[in-house]
Amino acid sequence: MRAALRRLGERVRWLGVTAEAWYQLARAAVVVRGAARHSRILRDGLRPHPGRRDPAGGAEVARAVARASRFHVKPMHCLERSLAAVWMLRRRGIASALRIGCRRQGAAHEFHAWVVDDDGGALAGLGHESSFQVLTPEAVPPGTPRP
Amino acid sequence: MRYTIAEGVLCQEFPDEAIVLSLDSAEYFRLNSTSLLIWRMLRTGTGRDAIEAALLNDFDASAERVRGEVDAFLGRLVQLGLIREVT
Repeated sequence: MRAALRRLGERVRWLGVTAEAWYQLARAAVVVRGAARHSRILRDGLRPHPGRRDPAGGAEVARAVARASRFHVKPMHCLERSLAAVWMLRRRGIASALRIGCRRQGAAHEFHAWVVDDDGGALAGLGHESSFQVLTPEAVPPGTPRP
Repeated sequence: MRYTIAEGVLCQEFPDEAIVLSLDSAEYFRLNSTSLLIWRMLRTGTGRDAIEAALLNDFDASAERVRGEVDAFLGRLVQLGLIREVT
Protein backbone atom coordinates (compact mmCIF):
# COMPACT_ATOMS: atom_id res chain seq x y z
CA MET A 1 0.00 0.00 0.00
CA ARG A 2 2.76 2.39 0.99
CA ALA A 3 4.74 1.54 -2.12
CA ALA A 4 1.66 2.09 -4.29
CA LEU A 5 1.08 5.49 -2.70
CA ARG A 6 4.70 6.38 -3.19
CA ARG A 7 4.49 5.43 -6.86
CA LEU A 8 1.29 7.47 -7.19
CA GLY A 9 2.98 10.43 -5.54
CA GLU A 10 5.94 10.15 -7.92
CA ARG A 11 3.57 9.95 -10.87
CA VAL A 12 1.67 13.08 -9.74
CA ARG A 13 4.91 14.91 -9.17
CA TRP A 14 6.15 13.86 -12.63
CA LEU A 15 2.95 15.16 -14.19
CA GLY A 16 3.23 18.40 -12.25
CA VAL A 17 6.80 19.07 -13.37
CA THR A 18 5.90 18.26 -16.97
CA ALA A 19 2.90 20.58 -16.81
CA GLU A 20 5.07 23.33 -15.42
CA ALA A 21 7.55 22.75 -18.25
CA TRP A 22 4.70 22.92 -20.77
CA TYR A 23 3.59 26.27 -19.38
CA GLN A 24 7.12 27.70 -19.27
CA LEU A 25 7.71 26.62 -22.88
CA ALA A 26 4.57 28.49 -23.94
CA ARG A 27 5.76 31.55 -22.06
CA ALA A 28 9.21 31.26 -23.65
CA ALA A 29 7.66 31.03 -27.12
CA VAL A 30 5.82 34.31 -26.49
CA VAL A 31 8.98 36.00 -25.23
CA VAL A 32 11.09 34.82 -28.14
CA ARG A 33 8.47 35.85 -30.68
CA GLY A 34 8.30 39.32 -29.17
CA ALA A 35 12.07 39.61 -28.74
CA ALA A 36 12.11 43.33 -29.42
CA ARG A 37 9.81 43.98 -26.50
CA HIS A 38 11.13 41.32 -24.21
CA SER A 39 14.88 41.61 -24.64
CA ARG A 40 15.12 42.51 -20.96
CA ILE A 41 13.88 39.00 -20.19
CA LEU A 42 16.52 37.46 -22.44
CA ARG A 43 19.21 39.64 -20.86
CA ASP A 44 18.08 38.56 -17.42
CA GLY A 45 18.34 34.94 -18.51
CA LEU A 46 21.94 35.49 -19.60
CA ARG A 47 22.99 36.83 -16.18
CA PRO A 48 24.24 34.18 -13.77
CA HIS A 49 21.63 33.49 -11.13
CA PRO A 50 22.97 32.42 -7.74
CA GLY A 51 21.77 29.19 -6.25
CA ARG A 52 22.81 25.71 -5.19
CA ARG A 53 24.40 23.09 -7.38
CA ASP A 54 21.90 20.31 -7.98
CA PRO A 55 22.75 18.04 -10.91
CA ALA A 56 19.82 15.73 -10.14
CA GLY A 57 17.39 18.64 -9.98
CA GLY A 58 18.84 20.06 -13.17
CA ALA A 59 18.50 16.73 -14.92
CA GLU A 60 14.87 16.42 -13.81
CA VAL A 61 14.08 19.85 -15.24
CA ALA A 62 15.87 18.99 -18.48
CA ARG A 63 13.86 15.77 -18.82
CA ALA A 64 10.59 17.60 -18.12
CA VAL A 65 11.35 20.29 -20.69
CA ALA A 66 12.29 17.68 -23.29
CA ARG A 67 9.11 15.73 -22.55
CA ALA A 68 6.84 18.80 -22.63
CA SER A 69 8.38 20.15 -25.81
CA ARG A 70 7.56 16.89 -27.64
CA PHE A 71 3.86 17.41 -26.96
CA HIS A 72 3.56 21.15 -27.44
CA VAL A 73 1.48 23.16 -29.91
CA LYS A 74 4.55 23.78 -32.06
CA PRO A 75 8.11 22.46 -32.27
CA MET A 76 10.11 24.21 -29.54
CA HIS A 77 13.61 25.26 -30.51
CA CYS A 78 16.67 25.50 -28.33
CA LEU A 79 16.14 29.08 -27.11
CA GLU A 80 12.59 28.38 -25.97
CA ARG A 81 13.61 25.13 -24.26
CA SER A 82 16.58 26.79 -22.58
CA LEU A 83 14.54 29.78 -21.37
CA ALA A 84 11.88 27.49 -19.95
CA ALA A 85 14.57 25.44 -18.20
CA VAL A 86 16.27 28.52 -16.71
CA TRP A 87 12.97 29.76 -15.27
CA MET A 88 12.19 26.37 -13.78
CA LEU A 89 15.69 26.03 -12.31
CA ARG A 90 15.54 29.46 -10.73
CA ARG A 91 12.19 28.70 -9.16
CA ARG A 92 13.91 25.72 -7.53
CA GLY A 93 16.87 27.80 -6.32
CA ILE A 94 19.30 26.00 -8.65
CA ALA A 95 22.14 28.10 -10.08
CA SER A 96 21.70 28.62 -13.79
CA ALA A 97 22.28 30.95 -16.70
CA LEU A 98 21.31 31.00 -20.33
CA ARG A 99 24.03 30.83 -22.97
CA ILE A 100 23.79 31.70 -26.67
CA GLY A 101 26.53 30.48 -28.97
CA CYS A 102 27.56 30.69 -32.58
CA ARG A 103 29.57 28.58 -34.98
CA ARG A 104 30.55 28.89 -38.58
CA GLN A 105 29.30 26.36 -41.09
CA GLY A 106 31.09 27.28 -44.27
CA ALA A 107 29.95 30.77 -45.18
CA ALA A 108 26.91 30.59 -42.91
CA HIS A 109 26.50 30.98 -39.16
CA GLU A 110 24.49 28.80 -36.84
CA PHE A 111 23.22 29.72 -33.39
CA HIS A 112 22.33 27.63 -30.39
CA ALA A 113 21.10 28.21 -26.83
CA TRP A 114 21.72 26.08 -23.75
CA VAL A 115 21.85 26.32 -19.97
CA VAL A 116 24.87 26.33 -17.66
CA ASP A 117 25.28 26.02 -13.91
CA ASP A 118 27.29 28.37 -11.69
CA ASP A 119 30.58 26.80 -12.81
CA GLY A 120 29.73 27.38 -16.44
CA GLY A 121 29.24 23.68 -17.07
CA ALA A 122 26.42 22.81 -19.43
CA LEU A 123 23.43 21.13 -17.85
CA ALA A 124 22.96 17.67 -19.26
CA GLY A 125 19.91 17.02 -21.37
CA LEU A 126 19.53 20.54 -22.71
CA GLY A 127 21.37 19.99 -25.95
CA HIS A 128 24.66 21.72 -25.43
CA GLU A 129 27.22 21.24 -28.20
CA SER A 130 30.81 22.25 -27.59
CA SER A 131 31.33 23.39 -31.19
CA PHE A 132 29.33 26.54 -30.45
CA GLN A 133 31.33 29.45 -29.06
CA VAL A 134 29.59 31.54 -26.43
CA LEU A 135 28.44 35.02 -27.42
CA THR A 136 29.43 37.28 -24.56
CA PRO A 137 27.53 40.41 -23.52
CA GLU A 138 29.39 43.56 -24.47
CA ALA A 139 27.82 45.92 -21.92
CA VAL A 140 28.11 44.19 -18.57
CA PRO A 141 26.71 45.73 -15.35
CA PRO A 142 29.47 46.32 -12.79
CA GLY A 143 30.27 43.30 -10.67
CA THR A 144 28.76 40.79 -13.08
CA PRO A 145 31.19 37.95 -13.87
CA ARG A 146 31.64 37.29 -17.56
CA PRO A 147 30.81 33.80 -18.84
CA MET B 1 32.36 62.11 -30.04
CA ARG B 2 32.37 59.00 -27.91
CA TYR B 3 30.19 55.94 -28.04
CA THR B 4 29.25 53.08 -25.78
CA ILE B 5 28.07 49.65 -26.82
CA ALA B 6 24.39 49.24 -26.07
CA GLU B 7 23.05 46.83 -23.51
CA GLY B 8 21.69 43.61 -24.91
CA VAL B 9 24.43 43.26 -27.51
CA LEU B 10 26.39 40.01 -27.60
CA CYS B 11 29.57 39.35 -29.54
CA GLN B 12 31.77 36.44 -30.54
CA GLU B 13 35.04 36.93 -32.38
CA PHE B 14 36.33 34.49 -34.96
CA PRO B 15 39.78 34.62 -36.59
CA ASP B 16 38.85 37.12 -39.28
CA GLU B 17 35.38 38.32 -38.36
CA ALA B 18 32.95 38.73 -35.51
CA ILE B 19 29.27 38.07 -34.99
CA VAL B 20 27.27 40.69 -33.10
CA LEU B 21 23.80 39.75 -31.90
CA SER B 22 21.27 42.31 -30.77
CA LEU B 23 18.76 40.96 -28.30
CA ASP B 24 16.59 44.03 -28.86
CA SER B 25 16.11 43.50 -32.56
CA ALA B 26 16.81 39.73 -32.57
CA GLU B 27 19.14 40.32 -35.52
CA TYR B 28 22.75 39.36 -35.92
CA PHE B 29 25.43 41.13 -37.88
CA ARG B 30 28.75 40.05 -39.28
CA LEU B 31 31.74 42.33 -38.83
CA ASN B 32 34.60 41.92 -41.28
CA SER B 33 38.19 42.45 -40.20
CA THR B 34 38.11 46.24 -40.61
CA SER B 35 34.81 46.77 -38.84
CA LEU B 36 35.99 44.38 -36.13
CA LEU B 37 38.99 46.63 -35.62
CA ILE B 38 36.64 49.58 -35.07
CA TRP B 39 34.37 47.51 -32.81
CA ARG B 40 37.32 46.59 -30.59
CA MET B 41 38.19 50.28 -30.26
CA LEU B 42 34.59 51.13 -29.41
CA ARG B 43 34.70 48.43 -26.75
CA THR B 44 37.54 50.24 -24.99
CA GLY B 45 35.79 53.61 -25.21
CA THR B 46 37.97 55.00 -28.00
CA GLY B 47 36.50 58.19 -29.42
CA ARG B 48 35.60 58.83 -33.03
CA ASP B 49 38.68 60.95 -33.78
CA ALA B 50 41.05 58.36 -32.34
CA ILE B 51 39.36 55.65 -34.42
CA GLU B 52 39.86 57.72 -37.55
CA ALA B 53 43.50 58.34 -36.66
CA ALA B 54 44.11 54.63 -36.07
CA LEU B 55 42.61 53.69 -39.43
CA LEU B 56 44.60 56.38 -41.23
CA ASN B 57 47.70 54.86 -39.68
CA ASP B 58 46.80 51.29 -40.69
CA PHE B 59 45.33 51.77 -44.14
CA ASP B 60 46.54 53.39 -47.29
CA ALA B 61 43.57 55.66 -47.92
CA SER B 62 42.90 59.38 -48.00
CA ALA B 63 41.86 61.17 -44.84
CA GLU B 64 38.64 62.21 -46.51
CA ARG B 65 37.73 58.66 -47.44
CA VAL B 66 38.54 57.30 -44.00
CA ARG B 67 36.49 60.04 -42.35
CA GLY B 68 33.53 59.29 -44.57
CA GLU B 69 33.73 55.53 -44.02
CA VAL B 70 34.08 55.87 -40.26
CA ASP B 71 31.15 58.30 -40.06
CA ALA B 72 29.01 56.02 -42.19
CA PHE B 73 29.89 52.92 -40.17
CA LEU B 74 29.36 54.55 -36.77
CA GLY B 75 26.13 56.08 -37.99
CA ARG B 76 24.93 52.68 -39.12
CA LEU B 77 25.81 51.11 -35.76
CA VAL B 78 23.83 53.84 -33.99
CA GLN B 79 20.91 53.33 -36.35
CA LEU B 80 20.92 49.59 -35.65
CA GLY B 81 20.93 50.27 -31.92
CA LEU B 82 24.26 48.52 -31.39
CA ILE B 83 26.02 51.59 -29.99
CA ARG B 84 24.90 54.82 -28.37
CA GLU B 85 26.45 58.26 -28.41
CA VAL B 86 27.81 59.34 -25.07
CA THR B 87 27.58 63.02 -24.16
